Amino acid sequence: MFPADAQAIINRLQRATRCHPALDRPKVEVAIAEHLQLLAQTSLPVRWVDDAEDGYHHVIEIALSAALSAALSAALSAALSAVESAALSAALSAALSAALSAALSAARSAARSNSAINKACGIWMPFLNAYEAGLWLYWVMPAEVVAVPRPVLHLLEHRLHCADGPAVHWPNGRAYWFWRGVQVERDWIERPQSLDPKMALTESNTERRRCLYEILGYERILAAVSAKRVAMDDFGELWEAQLDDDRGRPARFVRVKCPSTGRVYVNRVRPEVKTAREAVASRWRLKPERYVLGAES
Amino acid sequence: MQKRKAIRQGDVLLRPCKPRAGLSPHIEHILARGEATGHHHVVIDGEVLVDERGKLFVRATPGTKLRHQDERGAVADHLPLVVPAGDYEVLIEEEYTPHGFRPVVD
Repeated sequence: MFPADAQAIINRLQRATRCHPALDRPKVEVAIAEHLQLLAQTSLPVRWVDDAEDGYHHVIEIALSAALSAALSAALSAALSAVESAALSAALSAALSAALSAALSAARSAARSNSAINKACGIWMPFLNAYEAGLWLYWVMPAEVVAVPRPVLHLLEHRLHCADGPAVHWPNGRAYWFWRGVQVERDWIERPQSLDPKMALTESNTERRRCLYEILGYERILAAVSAKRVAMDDFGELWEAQLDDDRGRPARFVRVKCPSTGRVYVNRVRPEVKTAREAVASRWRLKPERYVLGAES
Repeated sequence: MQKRKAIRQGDVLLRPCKPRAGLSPHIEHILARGEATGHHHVVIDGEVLVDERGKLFVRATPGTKLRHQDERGAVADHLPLVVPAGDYEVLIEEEYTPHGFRPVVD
């Protein structure tokens, strides 16, 4: 249970997050000015950029132009290229974090009256208005505040997810696709019929591979490679398929269910294994009789 | 005394072992990071130790837990597990490929 005033802030943030974003620039700019004033900082003009990647590019360029040694510039250039894959960062809102700081301060303040906490609460409160008015990211730079408006977000169980389009997108067209919190390629979501089901067995990242199982369907994947079940026990099922990628030896896969989430995973194992238990144990380099768990989740 | 058994949480397995000499405290309590999801396997109220080759160990005391959590500390996919007191070596699940084994990445 949060104190009433902290809960009221959280409720407003939740309401705003669920709404389609409508940007009210003057209201955001007033809130930012108020925040800087409370910090006894000089007022700064607000420069709007269209989306998170543009925002990151812009602030790194400011840093680069202010710089510095060639070595540091090189390091910042490297950071700039990292921005290309900043989609997850794009999905994290600085404005939301700032407004949550206000809620946290309010909760602490209720717990024990403290003028310093009250002051902190006041400093962050303008971001509640800013978030409601459509602010997503902001950076306070030496001569300006760089601001990014809130994108449209699609969430499922508090994770970014959209089964038929981008889960994060801005009006300028910048978009990111997510499947249950995992960033994936556009085609995975919008043209799944175009994917080669073999991808689901060769993708190197297990979470992305699991997304492919869910998107394509486990049956379609194993059917596409004419897989056959060769064994099953309490640990799972052992499947075999000829993928022609292992010196003529057929590939073997163990199909297991996660006890916490119920999600099905199909994992490649050594082609020599003969039982599902041996297959599971082999993924830890353990002999099957040594794979004895006291607890699992 | 009952023999301790292994604890598995997703792609992390804690295998009971005897206390080893020469281990140093590890710089963090994260045993494995989720690159695609940002979810980590974290030891709570226990020690994470490392040997000279970088292999991780957990020294659990009464109350030690293994948590799978996101960057804000909320429980992610796997439920928290109690780790009975004792020493464990940390095994990370491996993926077979025609070119050799590699640690599972998620």
